[in-house]
Amino acid sequence: MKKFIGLFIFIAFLGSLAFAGPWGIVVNSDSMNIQTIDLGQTPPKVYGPFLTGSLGTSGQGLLDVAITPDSNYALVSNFGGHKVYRIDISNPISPTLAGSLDLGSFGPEDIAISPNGRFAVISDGTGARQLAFINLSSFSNYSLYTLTTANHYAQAAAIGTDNSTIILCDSANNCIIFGQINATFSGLISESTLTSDSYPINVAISPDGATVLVVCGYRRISVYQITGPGLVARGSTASITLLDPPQSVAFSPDGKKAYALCMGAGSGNPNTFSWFQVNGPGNVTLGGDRAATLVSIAYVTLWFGVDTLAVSPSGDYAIASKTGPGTDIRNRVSRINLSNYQATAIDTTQIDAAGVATFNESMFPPYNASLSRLTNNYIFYKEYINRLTWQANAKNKYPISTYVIYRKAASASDTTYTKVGEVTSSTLQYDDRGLKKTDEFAYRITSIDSRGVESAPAEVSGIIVLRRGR
Amino acid sequence: MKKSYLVIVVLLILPVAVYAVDFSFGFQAGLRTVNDPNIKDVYKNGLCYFPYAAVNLFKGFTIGAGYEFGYSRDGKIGIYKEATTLKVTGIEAFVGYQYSLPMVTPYVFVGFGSFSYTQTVDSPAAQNVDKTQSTFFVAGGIKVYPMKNLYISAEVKYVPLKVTPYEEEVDLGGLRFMGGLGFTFGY
Repeated sequence: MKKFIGLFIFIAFLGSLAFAGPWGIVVNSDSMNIQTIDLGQTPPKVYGPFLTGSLGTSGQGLLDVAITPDSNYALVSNFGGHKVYRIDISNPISPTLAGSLDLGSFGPEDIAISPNGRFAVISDGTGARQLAFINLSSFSNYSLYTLTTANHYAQAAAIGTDNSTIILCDSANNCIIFGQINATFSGLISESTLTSDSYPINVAISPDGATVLVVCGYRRISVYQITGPGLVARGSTASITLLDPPQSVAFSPDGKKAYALCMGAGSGNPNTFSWFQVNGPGNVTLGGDRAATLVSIAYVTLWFGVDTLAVSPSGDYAIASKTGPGTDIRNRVSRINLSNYQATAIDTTQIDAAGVATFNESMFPPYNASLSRLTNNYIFYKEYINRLTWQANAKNKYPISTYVIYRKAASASDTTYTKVGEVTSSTLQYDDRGLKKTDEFAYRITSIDSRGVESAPAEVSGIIVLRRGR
Repeated sequence: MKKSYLVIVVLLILPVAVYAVDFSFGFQAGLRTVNDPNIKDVYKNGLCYFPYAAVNLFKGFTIGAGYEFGYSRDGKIGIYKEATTLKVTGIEAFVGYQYSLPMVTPYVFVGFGSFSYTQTVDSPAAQNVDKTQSTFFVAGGIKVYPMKNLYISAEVKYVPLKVTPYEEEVDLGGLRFMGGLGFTFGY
């Protein structure tokens, strides 16, 4: 149609920088700060410490860290401060605090983020029977869920790739608790238990969502298999015996291998690193026990639920802090080259490194997003249309499958954004149709990649400038 | 709505029929133009048909009524080129004067019509238009009698029909160039 009136609005978009990476992040439990580490450099380059004084006070204990799937945020638990912090790591050399949640008397310990990035589950280290569910789209509120099984509690949590199955470690009862998360991500709709080897303190689920490894403090890894949403059975490999007590376990990105950080041969001895071959769902064999000797040393106590071992997204490196709390201050973080199991000391200069995680550069939102107002002339009346256009962001590592469009009234709060549509990756335009002449909206456009991970939004809004045209 | 207009017209005609000199029944068909450039762009001009009945009262004064239909046009509309249909029909009553000459009768009319117009667009964002608008119109033409009671007519009619169903005024008016056949039955 030749005759329509165009109303144009200005453009806004989000962008970011690319870094070398892969990146590691380490939480320093006693120094109460974080550091980022460029694992791709030799030696690994440490940035920070960051946010000292903003993440609680010494003695409270920063414990775990987990990264959102879009790599934009890190969540950090403060056990004694009863808080979970959200830290913007989109610029890894300059992380900024992006909010915190006070969980009351809850003692945040392990953090598990759902693969779709929509929610996080926090275990309670105080011995209460509670889990905290945090909605990550707003990071403004949380729900507490009390385990229904009496005298059961959880130190560690992992969420399956279906975003529904949850597995918890109950070290006091030598079992795992598993079930299905409800649709509102606020609790469980089913809850069952299975015995484990003694002292289960950590858990990881393979990238294909089928194999579960549970770290048991008495030199065992218990193996399970996820058989359906919320359903878990013992694996064909029941358990694996190690030389040293394991504390953390992590899978390679392709799920073919797994790795364990172990305490070492008694207090004061170096921590060790072992690897496993994943042969199939629930079928795991020991590949190399004590494959690497690390720079950190063993203490009598293990971290409960804290992930002190992480594998880089590329699968090239692992980063390990240590197996339990202590006041060591230097050379206590290791980078392990996973092609030859060579460990490199990383001098962080901070006290009591605890949780670690890895991430690549952020997942990027659509680029150069813009909004224009069109008028569709139906002769007897006019239809007003907001046309959103954008460009694919070439910085994204994974192919984009979908763009999602959210909308809110221009003057409303950001919490009122609601999804109005989505288009496939080949479509870089969306028309919000059927609007009134006076409607003014703000929009967010996000990318969802082939993993189902959603990016941060590109935001588009503005003041309408009327321009008549044909 | 259409039925009620028809009843009114019939009731108006019947009392005066007793004074009638003759009755005429006819059917015309022809081209209907549209004034509005947007309507013309999307729907174009079209055909229309007009069956009617008239009563010649005395000294050439005539009263009659008819029904215009047939203008139903499809097109593609708007930015998305969505399928659309516009349909216009009208119930008309008219009074006029005709001057009888041997074999030829020129005439002029003025009338009043109630026109219904509907627009449908195959789009989830569109709203269907189904409205009615009344207006006066004028017409002029000629009847040629090749036989005693049979005549051939040619007529030009102009209907100004500006409508505003929503916020936009649209001129649905236009000319009709009609031709047809009719019969006259005298007392």
